[in-house]
Amino acid sequence: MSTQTISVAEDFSPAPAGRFMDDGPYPGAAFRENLLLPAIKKNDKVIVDLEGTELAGSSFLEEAFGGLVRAGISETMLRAKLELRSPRSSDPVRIWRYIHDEEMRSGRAH
Amino acid sequence: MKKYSEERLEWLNRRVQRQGSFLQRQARLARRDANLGRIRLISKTSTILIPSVLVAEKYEHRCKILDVLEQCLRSLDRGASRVKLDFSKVEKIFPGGMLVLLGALELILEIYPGRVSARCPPKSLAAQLLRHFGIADKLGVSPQFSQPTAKSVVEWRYLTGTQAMGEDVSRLLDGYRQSTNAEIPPDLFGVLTEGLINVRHHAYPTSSPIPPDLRRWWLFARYVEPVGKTAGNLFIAIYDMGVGIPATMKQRLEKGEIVLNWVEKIVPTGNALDKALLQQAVDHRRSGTGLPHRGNGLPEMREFVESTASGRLYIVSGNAQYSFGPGFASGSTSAYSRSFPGTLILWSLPLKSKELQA
Repeated sequence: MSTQTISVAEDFSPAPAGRFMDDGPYPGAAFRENLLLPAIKKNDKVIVDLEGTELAGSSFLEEAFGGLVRAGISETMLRAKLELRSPRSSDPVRIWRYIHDEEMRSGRAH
Repeated sequence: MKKYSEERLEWLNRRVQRQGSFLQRQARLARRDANLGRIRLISKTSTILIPSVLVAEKYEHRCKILDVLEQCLRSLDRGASRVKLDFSKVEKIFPGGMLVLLGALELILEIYPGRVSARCPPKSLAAQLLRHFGIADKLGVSPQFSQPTAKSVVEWRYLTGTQAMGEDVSRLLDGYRQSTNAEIPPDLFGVLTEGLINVRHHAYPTSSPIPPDLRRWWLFARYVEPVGKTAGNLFIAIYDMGVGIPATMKQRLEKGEIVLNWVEKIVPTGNALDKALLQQAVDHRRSGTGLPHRGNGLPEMREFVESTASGRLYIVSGNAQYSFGPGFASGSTSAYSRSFPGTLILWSLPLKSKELQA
């Protein structure tokens, strides 16, 4: 079973912000397209480690993680593959909420 | 007889000398022109007095700042004229007020280079702030008498840009985290960057005639250290000169609002629609884009302030102002007759020292 760990602070930025590619140097769309989505497609398990990052705003987190559902990956698949690590307990709660909300909106959830 | 400090006397003497040489020169040129039979175009300088209190979250004070900017633009529009901004009566400067003035001045200086100057008493807070924010030279303020030395000036931080620059915001907060004895809320980074993203996505529509490099935001932060049991304070303000929140929301009006918009065109309703739209944007996660996964920024700002003991949040945009904090428990929106150019968001966060919290 292949596992990849992505350290947001080291592999992307300790201060990620923004939603779209042209919002700034480290937006959610860039994190999703360049790191997260390829890792999810390639591996059985992906660990996203938020240690050492600022507490990112909703635009970044929604676009990076909620955007996975818009890119065609279901919440069920993400629950099986994605593991979130953070020193702040609120981070995984928020991220799973964005994923779930997008799943509900996409009409895939039952 | 009124007593002046030595520095003040020195400055007044220099001013009199400067005025004397200027008048002598004018008289000499007038004599020469008369001898040559020429009519000389005199470039007129309008002096505009900056109000004594620079604060933006109070309507009456805000109007005085807007008056200054309007007078400034009117004078500059008259072709050859110049403008001198007189800061000599300024007594109190608050982040929101200074930010609105500074943001507008930066743009005015770009549009009318070399035509705006400032008169500041030597070593005054105004002179030091203009130097600290990097526009003193453009306004002709002497470097000798404007070096930022006052603690209340050097503690101000200033950022400007057109994108959501997370690393700049993080560095600004790190500066406070390292130098302070107080706990800086961890959610603040996300709240501030959301404010910048809102500017990026909504303030300047793609069809806006404003060139991309001028579609800017300005951010001020000022920190007051807690002393003993007295809480400190972190003031943060973000300003943009875009179309404003109500104007963005008007692109996607809902049923009742369409009626109100139509009524307002016929009967004055005291800008009830601007007021309703700003309240909606803060309360109901409704975005100007109409997309359901967008529009979280303003409600999250309110939630963030709500989570602090006695924090305050002010949002001024278009003809409306939203206020949240002690005294405005559930948030209050007011409408005003004078429209505000752009959007100003202000946070005032009480900070307690870490020892007291422990």
